[in-house]
This record gives sequence, C-alpha cells and structure tokens, in this order.
Amino acid sequence: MNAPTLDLAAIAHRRRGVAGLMGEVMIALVPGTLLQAWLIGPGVLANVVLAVVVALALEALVTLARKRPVRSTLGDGSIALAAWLLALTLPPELPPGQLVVGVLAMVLLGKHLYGGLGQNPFNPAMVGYAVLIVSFPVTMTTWPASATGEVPTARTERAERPPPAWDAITAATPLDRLRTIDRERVYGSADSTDLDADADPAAFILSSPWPWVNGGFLIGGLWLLARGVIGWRIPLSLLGTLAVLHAVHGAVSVVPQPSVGASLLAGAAMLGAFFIATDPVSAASGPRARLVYGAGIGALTFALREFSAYPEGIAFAVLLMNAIVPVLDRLSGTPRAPA
Amino acid sequence: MNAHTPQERRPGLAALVTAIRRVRMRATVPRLHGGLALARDKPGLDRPIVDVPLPRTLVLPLVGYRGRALAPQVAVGQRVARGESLAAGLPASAAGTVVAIEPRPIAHPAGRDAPCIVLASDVTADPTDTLRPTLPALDALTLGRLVACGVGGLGGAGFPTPDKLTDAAEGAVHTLVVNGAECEPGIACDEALMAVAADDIVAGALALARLAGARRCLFVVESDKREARAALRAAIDAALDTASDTGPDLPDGRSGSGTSDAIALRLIDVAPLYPSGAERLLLRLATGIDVPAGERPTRHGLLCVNVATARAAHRARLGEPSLTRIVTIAGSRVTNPCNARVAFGTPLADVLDATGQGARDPDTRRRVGGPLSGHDVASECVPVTATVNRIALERPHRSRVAVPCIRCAACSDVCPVGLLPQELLRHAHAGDGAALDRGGLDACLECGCCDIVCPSSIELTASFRHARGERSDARLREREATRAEALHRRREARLAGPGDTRSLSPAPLPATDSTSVAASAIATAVTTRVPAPDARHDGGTDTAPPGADRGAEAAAAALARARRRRRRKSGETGAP
Repeated sequence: MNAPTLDLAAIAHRRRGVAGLMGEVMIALVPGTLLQAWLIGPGVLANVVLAVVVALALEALVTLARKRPVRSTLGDGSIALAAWLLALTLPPELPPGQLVVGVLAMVLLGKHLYGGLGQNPFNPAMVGYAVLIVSFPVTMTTWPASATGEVPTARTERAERPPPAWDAITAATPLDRLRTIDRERVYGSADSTDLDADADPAAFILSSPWPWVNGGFLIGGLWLLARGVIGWRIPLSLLGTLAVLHAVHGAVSVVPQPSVGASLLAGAAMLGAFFIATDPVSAASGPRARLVYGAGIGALTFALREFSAYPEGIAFAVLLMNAIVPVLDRLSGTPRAPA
Repeated sequence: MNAHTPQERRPGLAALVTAIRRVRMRATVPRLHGGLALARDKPGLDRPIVDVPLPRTLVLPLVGYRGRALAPQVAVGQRVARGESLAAGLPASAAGTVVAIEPRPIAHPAGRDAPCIVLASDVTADPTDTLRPTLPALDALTLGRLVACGVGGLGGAGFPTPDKLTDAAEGAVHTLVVNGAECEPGIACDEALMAVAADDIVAGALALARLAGARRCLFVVESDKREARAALRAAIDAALDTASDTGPDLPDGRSGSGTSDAIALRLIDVAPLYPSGAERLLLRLATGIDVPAGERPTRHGLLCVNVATARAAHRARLGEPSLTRIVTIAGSRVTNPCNARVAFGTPLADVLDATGQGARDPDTRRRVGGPLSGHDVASECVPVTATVNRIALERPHRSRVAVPCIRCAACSDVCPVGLLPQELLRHAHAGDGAALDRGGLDACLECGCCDIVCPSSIELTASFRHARGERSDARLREREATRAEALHRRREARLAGPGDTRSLSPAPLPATDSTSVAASAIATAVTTRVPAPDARHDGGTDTAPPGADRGAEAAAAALARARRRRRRKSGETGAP
C-alpha cells in the first residue's frame, strides 16, 4: 500500500516552508534597509530592486536550461533574498553594469554551479560581493559623503581618492578611514593630520549613519531569533568573538581604537552576524560546529578589518569559514546517542 | 497543559500567569532533549468510555510480536469458551464457534493479509460480558496467570508482557516504570483509562513489581494530564494507606510517593513533549539510566509497562482474561470522537458503527494508530488487536512537495535521540550502509519529529524506515554468507579427511586477499559455535548435510571453486 506513513496534516504544529523562512528573513531586513536608504541614499533601494529583478530573471533562465521547475525554484525566495543581501553590501552609486556582474557571479558561481539550493558550499551573496570587490575595488569602496562620519579635522583625504569626478560627493566608510588613519599614524605618513591623536575614533564611527543602519539590522535579527528562524549560536559567537578581539586590540594598541560598541555597530557586523553568517545552506549545522563557525567568522572579520587591504572583513571571513564547514560538521557531528 | 491550545490562549494577566507557570514547570520537570511541544489534542476525554458490543464475527490474527506466526490450537468448527486459548497468548474474546482459519486483512503497514481465526461469537445483550472473570482470583500474580489470561503489551509495540517478566527473572530488576506518558497527539486511550481505573493500574503495577522483584515502582505521567495525574496520585495514596504493616511512609512529605510492602511508589511528572513516552526516553527521564538501542531494559534493572498492561495484570490476578482494550476514535472525518472499550478481534467497521460515526465518504482514509506512529489501512475489515490504540477517519492525504534540503538542521535540533537526520538522509540516498550505522540509524525511534519541522517537506522518517529495512537485509546476507563459508570449510575438511596431503582448506589464503583472510577468521569463529555434524559422519563418508544447510553449502562450494580458480591464476601461494 502506498499510503503515507505520517499523517502530518493531523498534527497541529506551525510549519514553515522554505519560502516562509526566506519571507521572514526578508521582513526582518526591512528596517535596516529603509534606514540605510534614508541615511545613505535612495540608490540603496534602487540597488535592491535591480539586483532582485536581475537575479530572478537569471535564475529563471538557468532553471529552464537545467530543466527544473521554474515556479517552485523561484518561489522558494532564496535567490531574491540573496540578491537583496548582496545589494545591501554595495555602494549606492555602483554602476548598474557592475551590479549585474555581481548578480551573475552570485547566481551562477554562487548557486547553480553546485546544483542549486542546498548544494552550494559558499554563501552566494558573498560570492557575488567577493567577485565585485576584487574586480572593481574603486567603485566598490566609494561611498557617498553621507556614509562617512564627521571628520574632526581638515578633509585632507580628498587628494588620495582616485576618481576626481566624484570628489565632491564621495568618501570612504568610517572603518576604511580609520584603518587608513591608523596606518598613517603608525607608519608616519605625511598626511597624518587627518585625526588628532586625542580624537575619539568611536565618536567618528558613531557620527556616521552606520550605527543606525546596524541598529536596524540588529532589530531585524533579534526578531528572527525570537521567531526561531535563526539560532542564537552563530550570531552570539560571531559578535562575541569580534567584541573580545576588538577589546583586546583596543587595550594593547599604541593608537586610539574605537570602543567595542562602536566596532560592533560599524561596517556590516550586524548584517553579517544575523543575516549572512546564518544562511543555513552554507553554515555549519551541528550545535557545537555552529559556535565554532560563528567564532571563526568573528576572528577572521577582525583580522581582515585590521590587517587586510579591504575595508570590511565579513564577506571573506564568511567565505573562508564556508570552506571548512565540512570539517567542522565532521568534527562535531557525532551523534549524541550512537547505536 | 491546556494553554497550548489556541482557544485557551487568554490575553493579559492570565496569559502572563500561564507563561510563568510554564517556565517554572520547565525548570522543575524532567525534560526530554529535543522533541516537540505539540498542541494538546486528546479526543473524547470529556465523555465516558463507550462499551462497544461484541460483534457477530470476531477476527483474531495468528500473529505475535513482530509478525511472528502463531500456531492455532483449535480447529474449524470447534466450540470455544470465553478466554479459552486459541493460540499461544491469544485467548478467545468471546464464547463461540471457530468458523474459519484463513488469511484476512490485518492492521499491517504494508497492507498484508495474515492467517486469522474467525470466530462466530455468541452475542450477548451485555456489552461488558468480556470483563467477567473466568479463573479464580490469586493472592499473588504469577507468570502462568499472565500467560493464561493472554496479557500482552498494550502499549505501542505490543511486546509480550510474560516475556518481559521472564527476562526480568534473569536480570536483577530493581525498578518498574509504568508508562502513562501518552505523548502522541490524537490518542487519549491511556489517559481515559488512567482517569477511571487508576486503582487497578496501581494494584497491577504492585503485582508486577512483586513478580519481577522490583523495589520501586515509578508512575510516569506528562504534567498536562491533570485528571489522570490526580487519579493516579489518589490511587497511590490509597495503596499506601492500605499497606499492611508500616503504614504510609512519605519521606518527602508529598502525597503520591511512599512505600508499600517495601516497594517504593512514586509519581513522576515529565514535561509534555513528544515523544517522551517512547520507552528508552521515558526510562532515562524517570530513572536517569540510559538503555542503549537494541538492548532490553531488563538488562539494566528496569522493567517498563504501559498503564493498560498494568491494569490487565491486576485483572489477570483476579481471574479476568485480557480480552479488550481502550481505543481512541478520532480524526478529521469522525463525527463523534470518543474512547471505546473494544474486544480484540472486533473489525473496525463494527467499532465505527457502534460509536456512531455515520456514513463514510468514498474518499475517507482509515488509519490505525496515531498520526505519527500509525499507518493507513485499506479496509474496515481489519480487526482491533493489542497494538491498535486509535482508529481514525481522515480526509484524503494532501501530498507535500519536497524541495531540496537547506541544511537548516531543524531536524537535528528536535531529534530526541540526538541524531543528525540531514546527514543520515544523505547517507541513505547514497546507500552508504556503514555511514548509516556510524550515524546511529539503529537508535532512530521513527518518531517523525524531523518530518514535522522540516521546512523542505522531506519525508525523512520514511527514508529511515526504508534504509533500516535495507540495512537489516544486508546484515542478514552477510550473516548468511559467513555461515555458508563456514559450512563449506567444514565440508572440504571432511572430504579431504585426516592425513590427506592434498589438503585443500588448510592451505593459507593469499596474503594480499585481506577480505578473504578476514572472512576465514570469522568463519573459524562461527564454526566453533555451529553444532558439528562431523562427529556423526565420522569416517570420511560424504554424507549429505541436514536439509536446511544444503542450499547454503552449494552456494559456498561455488564460491570456493571461484576462489580456487582465482588463486591458481594469481600463482600458487598455498602451502608448499
């Protein structure tokens, strides 16, 4: 008899489908996205819309080519969510052509090359971001002046910003600026007058829009936690590790460092911790593995923030940890009750 | 707890009080690892248990625990008395005439027919006729009485209770656990029974504990079964009050615990989580003792019986054969959900008609057992047996379309035995038996929690059931092959005879062929355990082996011929 063995319809239990999960994550993204668009520029919303539309169209094509059901593949919402996340990491004035390149990399390299939903080892949105930042380093790090905090001293950095046409309206993000300033101080560059020695880097970060944007994502992330859409292990271990390392760095550094709170509200910390690192497909799955995974991302993010040429480390940290997820799962994946 | 049901969710202060109570309960009550807090759905508890009258025709399957075939002890046309043994552990539910012994549809997941004794019953006006004793009451319960009264396991698996007690006699059982944690939604038969027959349950548990030599007796109930819990507590207190010499002894000052005849009685609450009532989980919750999968609790000093079984044991002591059970009648297409006392062998159709379920739509599904543990049956001719705890009429199944696994690990978060279902599924699809064994497939309870939470609607439990079947088949094949090899070696040795220099089997196998070496090591080990027929066939005559072994021996001979050819080809590495 081909009768189903389980009568799930008779169990009154709230079930979320994949589409439901993705939908809730998208709802949680709304406050952060609106804050980012309001404080940094309407280009953020334009990017989100363009990325989602292009990603859906592209996935429809790929799904057709792979002879898979288009409606259910697009309907699970996973690619729309990934495109949304990717768009949030992009400067609002990124040329649309470059954005399309990022979406292309996300859909093809990030997802369908491995066989689609559930098969991709790397977070597709971060694959798209990585391709963009290594391909277009200048436009990818050029944010409108609204994205930068108030610089306590004269704006001497203009000379070092390459595209002269955007000079009047562009600047780096606070993390980018702080790192540049740090280096100049440490290595004794000529232009080290940017920030006074006794100026507070935390105030610099807090005067920028990023703490507000991060606050928006934090609220969304806490809502996801409360709804049980994501677990607490990855965000907590990620932010905890990041906080501890920033605290240690602040204590031992020869130059002033932003406070721990300011560091956690700078860059893409909250977006990364609650929305990107928690992507179930590419994250570790065991409870202990998730703690290690989150902590690894936190540590790598700190290292990349402080020691790499890139302004924010979340993307590469996530991709690097994605690569060792199979090892993490294997190490901690022994069942608690073996036969 | 009733607060789980949406209609009882009240706003404001009351909701706050409920929430605080729930948190406190969680902190104080033994709690399952994983599992699911499913909405409380216990049908028919608001009305008394219905007595289903004896039908004209009773169908009693000749099937024991795990599908073991039973040999009939009666012939067609024979008159039988109520309670008379029709086969081992199968008493006649009613007096009547055996009209046929033939295959009939039974409650089997694969919809199989099985040989059944069909009994034309002497219908009486009294629906409780099945409850009268047929044997004299005993002072103390004996194993023989349990067998004579056909007391079988009335929980989910239907493990024969006398066998459990035989095991208990071998191991040193110190604790009897009475399972009143009926955790699956949609089933309320045990809860209904606890509310009305708590005294019988406690008396039966004491009788079983004495029989097994247990020193304490734990009654485990989920904390949301208020009425059943109160009834059990009162029954325990009453049992302690009537305890002969020492009187009630309440060490912790609480009611519901103490000792009676040196048997400590205790009521234990567990959090209402599915599947707390699964035997191994329940034993861990109640006693903290882990019984590994595949081992019997009696080896660890524990004996676990269902509340209905405990009651049946008490009744057996009084001389009443175990001829009925309580069945929950529920489901979306049932018009009158209730709990009914049904004689074993009553076809589903008679139960449904007697409880007023009305006409069935042509697309109605019939189901036996709970929504998670049960299975659909094709016909209403299927009879009620000891393991049928629920009969359901349901609307047609809506198929869920499975999408790929997104590795969200919701399944491993709820798995009550701590497996990684997503990994097991991968191994099952890959057919990797060794990985399935390593991943603990044997420990899977098939509770269905993973299916309930899976956002991708993947049928994990069905895959695991299937994989488990394949694994046991593969193990059987391995065992057969090993046995065949052993038989073959003995035959070769016998053919060669003592002192034969052209000996075939003593020649060492090629060192490179590690699997063969391993196999021969196993074969040697097995040979020592197989009763050796060689002694009888002394003198080197090629006597045919016992018939059962002939096929295996032929297969082994073919295998060995192939190996010899291979050995010859790869160069002679045998003995000089």
